[in-house]
Amino acid sequence: MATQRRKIVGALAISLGCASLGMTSLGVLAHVHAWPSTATSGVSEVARVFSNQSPSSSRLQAKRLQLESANKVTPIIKAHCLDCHSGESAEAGVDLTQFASIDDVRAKPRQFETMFKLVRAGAMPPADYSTLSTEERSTLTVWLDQALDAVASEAAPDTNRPTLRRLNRVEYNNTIRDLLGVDFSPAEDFPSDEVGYGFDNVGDVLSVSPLHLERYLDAAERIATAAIDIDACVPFEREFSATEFVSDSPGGSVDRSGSFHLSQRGEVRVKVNLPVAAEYVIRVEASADQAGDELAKMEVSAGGKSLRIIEVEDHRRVKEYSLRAEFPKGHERLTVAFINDYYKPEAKRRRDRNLQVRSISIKRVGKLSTKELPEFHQQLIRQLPQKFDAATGRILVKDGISLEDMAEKVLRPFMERAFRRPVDEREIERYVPFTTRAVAQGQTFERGIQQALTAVLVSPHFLFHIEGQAGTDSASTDLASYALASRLSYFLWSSMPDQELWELAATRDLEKPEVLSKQVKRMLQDPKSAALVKNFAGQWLNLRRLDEIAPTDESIPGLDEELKHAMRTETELFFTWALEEDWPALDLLDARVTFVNQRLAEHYGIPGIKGDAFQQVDLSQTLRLGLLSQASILTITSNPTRTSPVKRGKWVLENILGDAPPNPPANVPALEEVSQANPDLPLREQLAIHRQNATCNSCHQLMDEIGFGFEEFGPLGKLRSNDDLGRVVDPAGKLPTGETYRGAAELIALLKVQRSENFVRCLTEKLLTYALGRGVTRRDRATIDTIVANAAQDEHRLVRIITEIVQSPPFTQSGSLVGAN
Amino acid sequence: MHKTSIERRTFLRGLGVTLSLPLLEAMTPGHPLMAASSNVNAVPATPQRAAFIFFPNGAIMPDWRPQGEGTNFRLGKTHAALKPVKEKLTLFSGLTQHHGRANGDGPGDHARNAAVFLTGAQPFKTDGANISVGVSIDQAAAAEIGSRTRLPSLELGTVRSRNAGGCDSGYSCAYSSNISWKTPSQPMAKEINPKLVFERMFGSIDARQRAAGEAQRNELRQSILDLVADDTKRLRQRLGGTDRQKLDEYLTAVRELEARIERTGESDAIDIPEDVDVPKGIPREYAMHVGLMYDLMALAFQTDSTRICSFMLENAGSNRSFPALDVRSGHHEISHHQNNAEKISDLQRIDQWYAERFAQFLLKLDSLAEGEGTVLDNSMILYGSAISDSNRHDHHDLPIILAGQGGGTLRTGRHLVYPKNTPLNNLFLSMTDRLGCSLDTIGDGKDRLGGL
Repeated sequence: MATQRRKIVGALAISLGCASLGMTSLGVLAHVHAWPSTATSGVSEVARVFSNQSPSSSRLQAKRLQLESANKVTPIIKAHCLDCHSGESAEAGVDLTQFASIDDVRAKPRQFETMFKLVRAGAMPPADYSTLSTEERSTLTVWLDQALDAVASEAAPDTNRPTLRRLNRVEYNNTIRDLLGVDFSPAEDFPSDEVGYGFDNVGDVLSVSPLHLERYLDAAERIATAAIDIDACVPFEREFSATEFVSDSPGGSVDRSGSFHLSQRGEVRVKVNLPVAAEYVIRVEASADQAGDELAKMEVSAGGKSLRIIEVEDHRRVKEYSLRAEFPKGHERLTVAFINDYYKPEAKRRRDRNLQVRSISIKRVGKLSTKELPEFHQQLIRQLPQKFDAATGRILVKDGISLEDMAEKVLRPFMERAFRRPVDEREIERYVPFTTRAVAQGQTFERGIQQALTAVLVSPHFLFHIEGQAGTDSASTDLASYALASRLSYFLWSSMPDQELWELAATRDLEKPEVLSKQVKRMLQDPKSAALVKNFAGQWLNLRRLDEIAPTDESIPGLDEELKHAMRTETELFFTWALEEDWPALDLLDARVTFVNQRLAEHYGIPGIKGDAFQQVDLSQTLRLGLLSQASILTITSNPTRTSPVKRGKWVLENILGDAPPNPPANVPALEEVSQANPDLPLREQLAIHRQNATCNSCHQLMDEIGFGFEEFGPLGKLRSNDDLGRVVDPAGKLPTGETYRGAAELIALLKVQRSENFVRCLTEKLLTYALGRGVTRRDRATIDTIVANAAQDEHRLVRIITEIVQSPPFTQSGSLVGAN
Repeated sequence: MHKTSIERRTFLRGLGVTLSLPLLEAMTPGHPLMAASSNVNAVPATPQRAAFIFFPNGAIMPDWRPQGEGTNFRLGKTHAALKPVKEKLTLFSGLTQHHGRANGDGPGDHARNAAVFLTGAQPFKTDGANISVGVSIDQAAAAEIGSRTRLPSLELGTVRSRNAGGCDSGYSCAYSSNISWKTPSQPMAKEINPKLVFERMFGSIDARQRAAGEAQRNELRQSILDLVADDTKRLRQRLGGTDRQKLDEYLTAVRELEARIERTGESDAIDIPEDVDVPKGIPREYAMHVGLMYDLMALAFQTDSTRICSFMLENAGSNRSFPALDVRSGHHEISHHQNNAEKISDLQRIDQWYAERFAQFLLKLDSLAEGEGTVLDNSMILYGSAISDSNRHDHHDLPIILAGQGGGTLRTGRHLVYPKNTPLNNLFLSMTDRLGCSLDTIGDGKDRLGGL
């Protein structure tokens, strides 16, 4: 099996085209590729789809590029690049004198990747030095792009499996929640997860430091303690003598016999912390001085509620009175009150009725209210019903079943769920001794299980996404399906697979594309899919950066926690709604609808919204539309007190158009000179001067001319007509491709029409990165082409894109591979 | 320390925590309490410590630079607050982190600022795959002498790593959010919550309440760690490349925790100085937060919980605003000051504000008596950044101060000027020598810095 897979992967890796960035041939949209259609043949069929065009066609491609380079590309480079990029003092160390063919690209792919990006962006060659004609630029970039693709597809076969990664904080919390039904966030105190490729689920940058392990162990202990209520398994009895009573009754005191003497109406109280919800018996030792025509009466209450009125019999003889009652877990105030005082000094005898309380005790007598136990504890009892003694709350070890068997019976299902795959006998046996040892030391069975649980929760099989990888002891079991189930559930839920996924993995039905697609729909309808919005959208759109802003209240005028929260909620609800309604992806850009509460509505100037609850509003009468004019995004792309067209433009390029501009040169002397000479110019003019420098211009033209479109919105996304210096804002711009616009709405309309494919590809790349937990490279280009092309049949609807990703080879196959031997 | 909570102190007493003279005072040879501490054998009479403190975005150098050389110098405007401890400082000019420069990797000076600061190595430009820089000096030292204390080292910060998007020009955020690197590919996660730092040093209140069962709990923890270490080794055999590297990180962490638990078992009750309050969590106010972290660092040294500490005052490229200084714009934003006088003045005030916090910390260390001198005398506290000029993002002539006398091995009260491009890492090697380490080289540091 292993060998077969490796071969397939080899073919696949060669066939996968590449590209992390746009510039795809438009032709691809015309083709529709099919992912595999049946489960058993799935793996190989995908390989065939991809490899059909493969090794031979890529060789042909390389040959063609070879010819082209001699004819067309080399002359361009000679004419436009060599003045600076030649010899020992070549600019940036890039010497192009020897450039002749694709072999040079093969030798230095990184250098040519940079060259490709700079030339495409117009940053190279510098405009003041030479101008490439549009045609030349296009020839050069298309060639570079294809050459880089060709080189990437020749590279040594890549297993395509992302680096082994641990659970991140969100995944840890959610997994614990679903595994044990424990509702707290143990990962709150874990160190930060580092971000790679924009997401915090990328194995390459998720490390395990000693601090992590300390926290894992602490958390595991706390979780195990919360999952099994040890107190419920221990007998409980508490007795209070008269000296421990609390009483503010006049004339009450402890008498010489050691009873608390109540000579008038009054009461004594004790406080007790009950370990579990159960039935308890309360015993009161009391005696009375009888007088008048009735017996002394005492009222026993708990938490102010009367439980029973008891007549105290006999004269001056201590007797025990008891009653049973159900109590919840927690603090309880028990009261014994003397309620029928009688005093007739003129009477000859029996003229004074008094009550003496000697002791109060409370003891659990059985019938544990199992419903109030932690969920996992209840399961434990259900799994071993015949052995559970409700009276003591204990699981008893009885004849005919060994302690080991019992432990195994409990641990197997738990470990399978925790490790997200079947476990074998030998693995379980390693965890059983925690239980037997505890029992041997005189502790309870439950305590032993608690300890085994702790160990499971710090095991690498729990903490890492190992599910389907080599190294499990179950070498004979094919675990690919379980790995797929996990990948799917961590993608859409940021948590472990549920029962249904588990069963589909067990039968391997999950590998069928139609089953996968059905599961995607089901999972997106589950409330757990909120994780996709919070974690994917939260990172893709950088919403989480709102957390970084304004650590103190007053640092940004007008921004407080409430507004920040409302901003974030708006975008999350917007994205949730888009997913629920399964919008075409492009509608995210210009939907005339959003969600606001009163605070945000006031911020936006939308009248008539009251209260904290968010409601959907129609935006057609406003200047806002789609994601890009939402306050969350406008705020994170601003400086604390003023807008930044540069940041906003850059944000749109990176996250909407998937076209990260080349970064600025580290230290541009020209920039310094400009501002030195004109320190007080407004930003737009400073930028304009800055852009007179050709190197700066090529990138800034891209960023600024998009960013200007949002100048109608202030640093917190509030509509404005004047900027912070009081000048009338000018939301006009001209895209590098020549179109002009005025205001965000026109800009967005332009983007939607002109750059629709860039946006869909960008979104697909981001989703793929997040789904796989690794960076997307040129070698994923063919995958992305196919996803985008297939989803086009469905107007690039969101669910379709997600489904295509889930059915794509990198997703279905990665992780099922056997690692290096 | 902020004396806000008497009850808490009382509470600590109630827990039976031994309140005594600071440990180190008690460990002076011949001191009657010396015999009481079981760990003494491993500890030299006056332990030396090192701390490395990082601030982001460089500095306004004209106000930072001292005037004059050698012993005859005046502190720059930014360092007015350091005057009381001037005689215990060494100020440096001319030191460089060459690998903070692009060296062909293009922009990303902020990411490189943090990544190179304690490593002296060129970070590999990546957003994730093959992340790599170099082992940082604090971790190299901890690997040698860390086992002498309960915690091999302590890594502190005030803000979490950025949790979405990118950080700087194609460098993974791991580079700009960490200065301590245990291996070239593994940053040491920093702790930002003062309460959790305290608990790392002294155990949590929960754990103290269960002190009776502690031995049993440690035994259990040991057996759990044994088991998972074994699991990991089995798993490791079947994996390769970066996967193996990830499991190695995990395995190392397991071993370190085992060693730590062992040491806890050996030592007696931990002495916590009497005037210490248990921190409650992360203070809202930045000044308070920074102050608390400094206090905890002082406490760590005072109680010999660790001898090596790193502290990131902020992540590289931080855009924090300082309303208390009436600086409303972000630190990074104005650091590109373009010689605008107002921005320069704002930046200088931020520099000075940071220097004031630092001064308070040094005064605190200097107030803690130890042997013949003070804790500061037996420490080497490095304070600086791997960017000098904020506007230009230079990586030479860095703003570097070394406070403390290294147990009398440093002739302090001087401003030392070195030739341009002298590796900062050479100073690091001179420091670790004084810690009792035997590092030949680290990063681009191959020699010792002369003239200390």
